[in-house]
Amino acid sequence: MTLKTKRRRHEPPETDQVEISLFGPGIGECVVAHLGAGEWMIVDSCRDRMSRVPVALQYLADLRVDVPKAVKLVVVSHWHDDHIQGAADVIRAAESTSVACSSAVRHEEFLAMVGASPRAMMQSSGVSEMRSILALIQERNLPGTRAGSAGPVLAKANVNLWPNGSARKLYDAEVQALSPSDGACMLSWRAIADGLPELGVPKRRAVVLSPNQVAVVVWVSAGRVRALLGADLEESASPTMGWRAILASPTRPTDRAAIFKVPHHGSINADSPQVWERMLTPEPHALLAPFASGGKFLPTRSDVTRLLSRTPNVHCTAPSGGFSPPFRSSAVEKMARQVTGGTRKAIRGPMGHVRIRGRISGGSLSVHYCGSAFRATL
Amino acid sequence: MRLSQGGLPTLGRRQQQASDSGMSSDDYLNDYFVSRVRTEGDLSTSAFKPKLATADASSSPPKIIVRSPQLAPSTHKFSLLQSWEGVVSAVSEAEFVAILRDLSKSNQPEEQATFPMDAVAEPDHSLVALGAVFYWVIGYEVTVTGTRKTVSILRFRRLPAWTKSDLLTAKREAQRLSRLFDTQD
Repeated sequence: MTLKTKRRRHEPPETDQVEISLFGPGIGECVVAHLGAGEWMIVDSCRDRMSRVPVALQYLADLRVDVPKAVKLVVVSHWHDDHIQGAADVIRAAESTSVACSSAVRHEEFLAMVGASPRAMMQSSGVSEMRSILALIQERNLPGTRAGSAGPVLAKANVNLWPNGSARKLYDAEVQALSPSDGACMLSWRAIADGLPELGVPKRRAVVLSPNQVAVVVWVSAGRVRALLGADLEESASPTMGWRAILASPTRPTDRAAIFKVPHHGSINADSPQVWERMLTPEPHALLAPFASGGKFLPTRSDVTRLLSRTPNVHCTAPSGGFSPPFRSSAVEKMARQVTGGTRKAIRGPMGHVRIRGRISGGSLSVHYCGSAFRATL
Repeated sequence: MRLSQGGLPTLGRRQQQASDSGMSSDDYLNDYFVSRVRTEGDLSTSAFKPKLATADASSSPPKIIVRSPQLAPSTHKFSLLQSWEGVVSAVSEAEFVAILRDLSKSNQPEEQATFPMDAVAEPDHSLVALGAVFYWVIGYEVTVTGTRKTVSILRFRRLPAWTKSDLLTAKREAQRLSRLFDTQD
């Protein structure tokens, strides 16, 4: 007798349901959103640890969604490695999608950095993924195609990303960029220019200082459901940048969102109490994906405590702090422990998935956890 | 006698010197190994032991015939167990943090670890910088005597500097990509 096991499939949302799904395997994040009526949006990308397939494509295949037709918008919020891995594959598969990138990518300094990436002789980075994306979009801009119709849409504060002039049949839904501000783009170009390759200087992997300030924050409005997707935007002391610039904008949406993708993995430098007060409903659903870099893990315990003081509904895709590294032979483990003082951690674990669904007409939202996802508690 | 493999890289020259000084090849080789044993206490393979013992016991220089298969093994043999490629993600005076990608098994998750600066060879210290790439290997080092020990080696990649040609190509690529935005306002 053969024992056959069947993997449980996800059920697709109904036509009048909005879905916001956040994926995160420990480092890397991706939002997959159903805007109703079988139309989908993907914000950022990360790959499944085992299959190396972009998680958005894997999930939509599981839901039996026709990706080439149904994905209407892909937003690349910024070019950090943990937000962009596999984004080119997603765009390639979503044949009819609009692509929105931070307007910071248009500047010659950024393009010079992207142009230099293939000659940097380094392993792939967020910058080289960005290069693949731009090249792919360029291929789609066939002669005679209306300029900009294949993209990218240059996202900046108060730019409408979708629908791109096309009328919606069933109900109102729109996606709007709330950032980056012009001021953030200017500063970003200067920072990029400082890091550009120079004659005679040894090559290094392209590391860009703080593209978080030019990350695209997305506002989703579908029927009566509102969601604020915070990308990695940080708070700033300057009123022309970060969350302060969004709050100060006279043209930002005045509604309040019940779903909040917490910016920059819950870190204190992305926290703005004013956002919670003025842009979110009381006790919103806060979605959080962890991150590891430079020896630090986000969110920290105090970050989670702070978030829980704002809302009891904090949902994490994976535990913060890394995972046990895969076991090699005893000799390797012993030597590795000796060299690194036991600091070695796997930064990607099993994929975690928090899914929130609600009716277009409003009412309560349902939360579902998959993989390593969990509800945060004190 | 022809020595075709490593282990005694200067033998040809030394043999020539031996020949010049009137020593036979065998005399020279014997002299070589006895001096190695005196300077390297751990060089004592079972193949050489009895002969070297004879050499030490005798007051007159013994005649030892050393055949090439016994000369062939290199002084050190490295057997790779695990390798990673690392990219430095944070640096301080005493240590640095890196993201590690498994080169031995590609489907393993990326790892993060903190390394003390002491783990890097002195000449490589200047290469430790944000974005620098290095290779970390762990393996067995086997000496000619058969002694085996686990070793860890961290080598930073010495990348060439940006050339005029590199920068020109990068500029052309940037110009090509900028056409994407030509007709957008």
